[in-house]
Amino acid sequence: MKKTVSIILSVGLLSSMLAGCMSSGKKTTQAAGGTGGDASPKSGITIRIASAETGAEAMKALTDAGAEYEKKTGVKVIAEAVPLNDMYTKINATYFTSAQYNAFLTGYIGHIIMLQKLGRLEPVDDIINSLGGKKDFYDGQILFPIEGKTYWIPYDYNLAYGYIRKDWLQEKGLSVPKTWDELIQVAKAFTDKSKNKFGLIMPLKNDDSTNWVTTSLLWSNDVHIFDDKWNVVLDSPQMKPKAVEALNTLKQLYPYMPEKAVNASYADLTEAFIGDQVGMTFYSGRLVDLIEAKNKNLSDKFEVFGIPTKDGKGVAATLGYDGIGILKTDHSDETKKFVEWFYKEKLLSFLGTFPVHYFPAQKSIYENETWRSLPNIKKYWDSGVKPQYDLLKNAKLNSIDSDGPAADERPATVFQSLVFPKMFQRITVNNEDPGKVVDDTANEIRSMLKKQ
Amino acid sequence: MGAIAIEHRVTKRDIPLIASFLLPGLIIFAFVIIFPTFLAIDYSFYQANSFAGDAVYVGMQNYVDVFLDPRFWRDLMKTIVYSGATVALQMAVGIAIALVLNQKFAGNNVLRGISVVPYIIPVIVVTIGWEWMLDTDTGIINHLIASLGLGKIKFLSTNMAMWTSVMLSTWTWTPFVTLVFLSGLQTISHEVYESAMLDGARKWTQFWRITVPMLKDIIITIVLLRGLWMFNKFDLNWLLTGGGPLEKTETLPILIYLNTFKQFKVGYGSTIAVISFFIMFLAMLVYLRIFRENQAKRKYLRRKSRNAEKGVALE
Repeated sequence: MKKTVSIILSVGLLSSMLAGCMSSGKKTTQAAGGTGGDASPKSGITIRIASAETGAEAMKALTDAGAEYEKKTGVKVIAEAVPLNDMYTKINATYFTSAQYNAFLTGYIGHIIMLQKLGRLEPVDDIINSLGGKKDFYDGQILFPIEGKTYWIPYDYNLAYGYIRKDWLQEKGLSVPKTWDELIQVAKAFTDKSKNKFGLIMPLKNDDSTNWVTTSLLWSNDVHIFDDKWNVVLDSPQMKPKAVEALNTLKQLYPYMPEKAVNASYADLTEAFIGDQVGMTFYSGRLVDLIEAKNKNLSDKFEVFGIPTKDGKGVAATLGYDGIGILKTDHSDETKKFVEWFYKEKLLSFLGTFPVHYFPAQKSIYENETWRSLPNIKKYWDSGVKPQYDLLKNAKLNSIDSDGPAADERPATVFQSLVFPKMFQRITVNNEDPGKVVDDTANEIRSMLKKQ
Repeated sequence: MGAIAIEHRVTKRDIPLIASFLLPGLIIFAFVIIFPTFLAIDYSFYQANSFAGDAVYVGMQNYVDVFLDPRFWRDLMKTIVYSGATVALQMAVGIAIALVLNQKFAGNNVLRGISVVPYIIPVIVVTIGWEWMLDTDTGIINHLIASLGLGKIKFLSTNMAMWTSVMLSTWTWTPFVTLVFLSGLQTISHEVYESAMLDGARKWTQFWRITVPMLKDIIITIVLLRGLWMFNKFDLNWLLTGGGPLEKTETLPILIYLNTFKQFKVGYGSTIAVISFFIMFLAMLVYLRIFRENQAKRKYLRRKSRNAEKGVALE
């Protein structure tokens, strides 16, 4: 009897497990809209969107938009949070399966380049045109066309630039640094280790934050990794002295950073500034939104500044951006319709979740009164929003993944390899000779590109 | 009763029962372990830049490249140091705590509960919490050190990061050793210790002459399991340092992750994973060999002592 009961229980467990697998598989098939099923009561089409904007507010905005679209058209839209680092793997792992995504939000142009190379992306020039064309996207600055076609629709800029405490400057009788020497001087004046006060924080961790933020010093000295023919020129006679100068400046700034800079990532950059530990930090507009949310006392005590050039004749910032790509699936057309509707009807609500951080990629939105009347945009117009526009128009903008003559896999490979964080760590933590480090880094880049 | 059940002969009628017990586990095992293992072995013969794109068959080239890569050897050494140090410390501390918790004293149960806490806290919480506490400028640990008049310790510097990681790993996973060893201790009869005490054996002697030999199999099992787990440990190191600073905490799992999921060198990353798998497989075989030798030796000694007893009786 006992044996019979055991067998029945085990078989039941097994069959329920298998049934669970099968039914979940079937559900996903419907959800993907890949091969059939009737997920939506009206049209049977479901669009799955992978979102690298994983924050609760952004996900809610996407989900709400999806619900409204379903009500309107009968097409179901499901948004899933997928961390940026997992995006490419998840898209590829699910492609052509019942769980495939139809569109995705990404902040890394390398994803677009690599997926286009695999033939998995739909061109979106028609959507760009319907949204005001290349001109509205600041003359196509971050459209990154590949062989004449555009494969993503940017929705924001995330430049990496400086924030400085005005009250600290006033206290020390200093002004916003305009040259590298002034930058070092201000950092030194702000630092009082006995009181846990430091001049600045720049991330040095072995991750993307360092790739994005700390490279701004290189861009401020006109450093490039590639020339117009994709040769690695970091160690060329023209480029190497500039790179060495920038690295020497970083070396001089390092003593005025808290120890955690070695292991600092995005959160540390904001925490150190909001928590009064550093007088300067480097980030996007998100810091302003965080100041508003976490420490309103600072709302009139900071100033935005571009990374100064050596001689004070200009400023620089690292280019950053986010956009939506559309994958080639059975429902590409429906997905494109949804994305176009989203940009026209819902993008403002989405950008409004972190208004200062999501600096619009379209000039028409920058000029849009509804957007300008968002509370944070209104409140921080002079201190946090307009300065971003000025940087966009006037600063030297570059980033590892967009360096070179066109959108290409090579800079993306350099970005992913984390050779730049290693270069910065060797200069600062290990106190190595910048000249040798630049040579080694250039050789490492050449060697990794050769293996591709 | 237990002995009778064990000696029960399996007949054809039992096969459906056995199969129904084994199948769910085997299916999961096949999907989660066997299939990915073979997939990784397959990938290791290809140059693939993604999991889904075109892959070029390169035969053993990835293996040649890995074996010629100094970063692989350096990270292998780091992995051995990390897993060796963490296992040694976990064993020493875990056994010590288990011995204390095996004593009868007030609050013993509360202490037993507390001792498990590090093991049940999610690794992300452990990492962030300790990162705060160990911060050179604001961390409570350095404040305590400074209040004693000592210099601050840069726990995540190039010289210290690996040892900090070892320390946190020890803190987090020692409770496993404690739990298993404690349960083993409770199987040893008090009479054995009492008679040893009557013979004048001190605590230290009791530990080495009674506890360790009687729990030798458990110790070997814990060492093996913890060794394999620590060799494969990725989360804590990745979250704490990302393999830095200057790749000082870059162990093989991190190297595999960086190659496979960061640089999308799927073939190369899979090759390192396969080599790593075979290293552990080899370690398991060595363990089984030692284990079997031990068992055979014990059986032989038991038989010998039984024969000797018989001989005495005959005399």
